Amino acid sequence: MAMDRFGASDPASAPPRKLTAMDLEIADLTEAIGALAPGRLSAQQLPEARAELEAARREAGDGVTRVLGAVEALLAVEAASLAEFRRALEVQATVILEACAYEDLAGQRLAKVERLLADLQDRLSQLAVRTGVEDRAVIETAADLRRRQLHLNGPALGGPEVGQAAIDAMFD
Amino acid sequence: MAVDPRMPILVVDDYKTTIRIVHNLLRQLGFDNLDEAADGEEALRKLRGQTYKLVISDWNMEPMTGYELLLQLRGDSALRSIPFIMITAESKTENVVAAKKAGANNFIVKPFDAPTLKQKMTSIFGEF
Repeated sequence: MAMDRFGASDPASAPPRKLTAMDLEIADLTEAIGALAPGRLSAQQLPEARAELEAARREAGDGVTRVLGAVEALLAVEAASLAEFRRALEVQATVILEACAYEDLAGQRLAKVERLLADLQDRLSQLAVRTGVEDRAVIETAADLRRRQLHLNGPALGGPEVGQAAIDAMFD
Repeated sequence: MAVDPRMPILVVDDYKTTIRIVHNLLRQLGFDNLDEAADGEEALRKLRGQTYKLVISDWNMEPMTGYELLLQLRGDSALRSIPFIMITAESKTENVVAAKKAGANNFIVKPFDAPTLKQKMTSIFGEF
């Protein structure tokens, strides 16, 4: 092996070392993480999904506000005749019909987010299988503890866990 | 307890839409002295500043939840007798039990309808 003027071996002239099992594992892991596309997810796809959810929420709110406005206008109508009331009813009914279009837009946005989540679920599942990494134990944060102590669970999927009749029985 | 249609009612929810819906339903029932608050803290400030005869509150709000508001009311000698109806999407058994233990007069699960609201108010104030 060549030596430099200080007597140390010259790395440029050193023979290539054999790839170890660890080198191969690191390469495999790197490829698996790359397949997840974390850069694209965090810089583009997830911000876009959040923007879609925010827009859906805003459009739903706008739609409901218009519906409530029409309802309040109807409740406040003082018509001198049935025909006059009918005219007022038709005007507000049209507002309500038009406002209901929010469901179409919000639905399309939510569908986009659902597709991203399904894709993300696939990619994460493949990563978990390829790496064989086990999840770390969940550590309860202060926010988690507060939610648990104040019974903050949010609306249940599939309807209320306890129905009104059962609640009434508990309060009687 | 007789019902006075002019009694001041405080509706507490962080969703303006829900407040608007409840206010409209209360007006349909004949009540028109209605106020609102967006969370427990604002509600408590209002309750300590003026008289209300009924509180209708959501549970899940920040920085103070409706559950915490209820605990504050029942722990305050000046406010503890104000009737309190919880209207919430929090529908686990633990929520209902906690609300009852904390002194809620009644508990309505979202989504709810006008007859249910009237029934719960009737159970507190009598027929109207």
